[in-house]
Amino acid sequence: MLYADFKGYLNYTDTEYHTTILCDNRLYEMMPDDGSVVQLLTAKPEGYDSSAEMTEAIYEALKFAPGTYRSTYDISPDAESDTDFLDWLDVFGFRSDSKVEYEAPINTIIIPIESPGVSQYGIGNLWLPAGGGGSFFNCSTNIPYTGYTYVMAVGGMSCCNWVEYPYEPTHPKHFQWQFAIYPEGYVNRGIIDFGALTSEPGQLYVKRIASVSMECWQYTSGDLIGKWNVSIRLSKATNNITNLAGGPFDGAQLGPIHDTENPSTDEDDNSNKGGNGDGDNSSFPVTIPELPTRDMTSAGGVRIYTLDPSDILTLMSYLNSNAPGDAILKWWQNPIQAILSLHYLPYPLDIPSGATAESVKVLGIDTGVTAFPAKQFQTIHFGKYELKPDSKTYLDYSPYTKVSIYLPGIGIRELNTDDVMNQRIWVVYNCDNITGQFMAFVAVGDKEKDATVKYSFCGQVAAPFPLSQENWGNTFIAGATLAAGALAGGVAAAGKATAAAGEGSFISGAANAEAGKAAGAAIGKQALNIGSSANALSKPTITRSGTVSGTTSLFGVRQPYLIVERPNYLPYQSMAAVKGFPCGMCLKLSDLKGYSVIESVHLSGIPATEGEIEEIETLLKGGVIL
Amino acid sequence: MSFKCNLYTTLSERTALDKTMEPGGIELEGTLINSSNIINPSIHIYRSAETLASYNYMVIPNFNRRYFITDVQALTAETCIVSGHVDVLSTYKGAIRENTAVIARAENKWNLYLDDNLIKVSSIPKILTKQYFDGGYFTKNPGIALVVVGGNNQ
Repeated sequence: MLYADFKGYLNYTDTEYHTTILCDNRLYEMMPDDGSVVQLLTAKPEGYDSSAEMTEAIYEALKFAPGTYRSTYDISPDAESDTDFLDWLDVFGFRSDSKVEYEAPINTIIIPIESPGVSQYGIGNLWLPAGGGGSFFNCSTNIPYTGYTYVMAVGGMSCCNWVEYPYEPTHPKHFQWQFAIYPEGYVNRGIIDFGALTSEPGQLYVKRIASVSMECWQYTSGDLIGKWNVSIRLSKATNNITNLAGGPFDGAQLGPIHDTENPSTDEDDNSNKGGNGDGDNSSFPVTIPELPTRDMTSAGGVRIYTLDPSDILTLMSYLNSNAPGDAILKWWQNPIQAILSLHYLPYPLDIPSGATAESVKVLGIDTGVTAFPAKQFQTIHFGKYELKPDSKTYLDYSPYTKVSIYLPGIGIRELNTDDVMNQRIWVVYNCDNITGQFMAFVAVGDKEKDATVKYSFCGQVAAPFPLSQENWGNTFIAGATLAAGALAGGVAAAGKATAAAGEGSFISGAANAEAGKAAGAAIGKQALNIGSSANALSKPTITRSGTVSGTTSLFGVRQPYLIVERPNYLPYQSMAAVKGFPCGMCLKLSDLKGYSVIESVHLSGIPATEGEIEEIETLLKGGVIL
Repeated sequence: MSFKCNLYTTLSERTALDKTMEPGGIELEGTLINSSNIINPSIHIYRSAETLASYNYMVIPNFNRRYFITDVQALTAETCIVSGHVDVLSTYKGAIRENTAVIARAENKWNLYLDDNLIKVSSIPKILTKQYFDGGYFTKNPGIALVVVGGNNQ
């Protein structure tokens, strides 16, 4: 095995004396599996009196089943004690893949630390609450505990039922320590020594952390009062933790591990041959965008009102009124041209806070409608759905499982199962109430505001409302034209009468086509012929705004939903003992138990004949019970 | 040259590295017949076939090997030839376990997110419609928007 170039890290944060160290799962992968126990050491002797220096005296030893779980080790002081530095150690774990924490105290181990001056050895100080199930504590008895040096060693800890869960390298894995550091001013002396954390016999999997550094912040009442870096050096111990407490570590930092059986990785120059990628796997959160802060209504160019059906009736009455005064104004200004749209939207329009109902004027003409102004842009939050895996196997992902989403106003769209499986799926529409257009966002994440946009679709949900305006103004034009024609034809009396009638009409505002017809009837055949043309001219001009298409958005299902096509698999759980499950890892065979099939092996160290070696390899590849 | 043979009965799987021996094993003397070898030995044993019939496993300390008994052939009423084949897994189990290998399948270290064609899948899928999202929705009574150029102050 070769794990030469890894630079591990621990992120160490301290908020109100609670410190968290996060360790990336790559650490697991980079540690050797040569059976050794690895200690993470610092060289500080005891006797420091600040929490900062205390943290520099952390010993770590990691020995655990590979990368399956995340664990939290919480060392907290007793709030009522002013002498004890550490009162108890609380250990609990939770699976990182399910994001569900095991609730303490089910997997809680509490290890009390005695008062200063009392001899303290590991064994016998485990208090296991009910439900702890199979946990044990087998700390070495050789760790001294003298004076004010507090040594707490966790020599062994079963993984309780954690080991029953599969190793899942595709999931992020962290293990985490949380230390509560005694407040500034208290003497924080000693060494915290985490010994080997082991699982059940046969489950051990020892790896090495190449290098670790911690960055520490300390806050008091929210203020950052200290920040420092801590480097942790490495020690390679052979078995247990008997010689670590108290003394500084004087060993050299471990260099890259060279695998004599497979020397190519660190000895040959393979820098240009691939395989050395450091993979920037960080992901930038592309969240759902907020609405624009400026819109047409705020600029004053366009107003949008939210109407009731009764308002529409009032508006129509106005637009189709043949009252002479309205008719002339409409003929003159043609207000329907100023009405950009009248449409349905399948949701209530947002009204700005503090807005009051106002008279709707079109080109300065009061339509008689009173309505609330609305916003141009608004967001509709359709909420979330958490898509959970079914079998927790590869069958939960593509191409075996297919996921589609129905979006109102858009229809059904196919999603990449890998994007949304085991995620909270959020649907948000950003809508333009003027055009009815919208953009639908499908995002995944725990919270909507932090969710990452995976898909965006455009749609249009406005259902235009047919709008018309009768323009009687032309009728009056026709009447005036007829009157002028009669005058030109020398029919003075009739012409005067017609002109008077027409003038009177204009003056009185009685826009009446019958007036024009009456005038025409008085001027003889020629006039009648002219009147015939005028009749054609005088038909109301119908101006249409919008169309009757696009109403389908009103008829569709009104909420998003998912359609999930899942494989219908037969029970497989009992297959493990008979056929095993896929593994794919490179492991020492002693790490395996039960039925195992070896894919590839170069057998060595076996004092057997060639024929026997071949038979062993054949048997291993055919499946053996280890 | 004679040597010791320990005969046992085991009910363990043939492919198991650790085999459990049932009580009642016996230690006998035997001699290797001329044409056999230590991988597939055939051994003269002075016991009746009835006596040896219940054993299926033997250990020959002189050969440092463990064997499956493959045949018991009666030569006389009191003499048998016991044939065996070396149990390489049990014989070398310690050294085998020290080797590192790429593991295709395992009972205790696995990852079910790797493709596995041994899980049987029906050709009839489950097609599920999941419940609505838990937030807002389009309303049955639509909003009505009137869009006017120029605003209300003209």
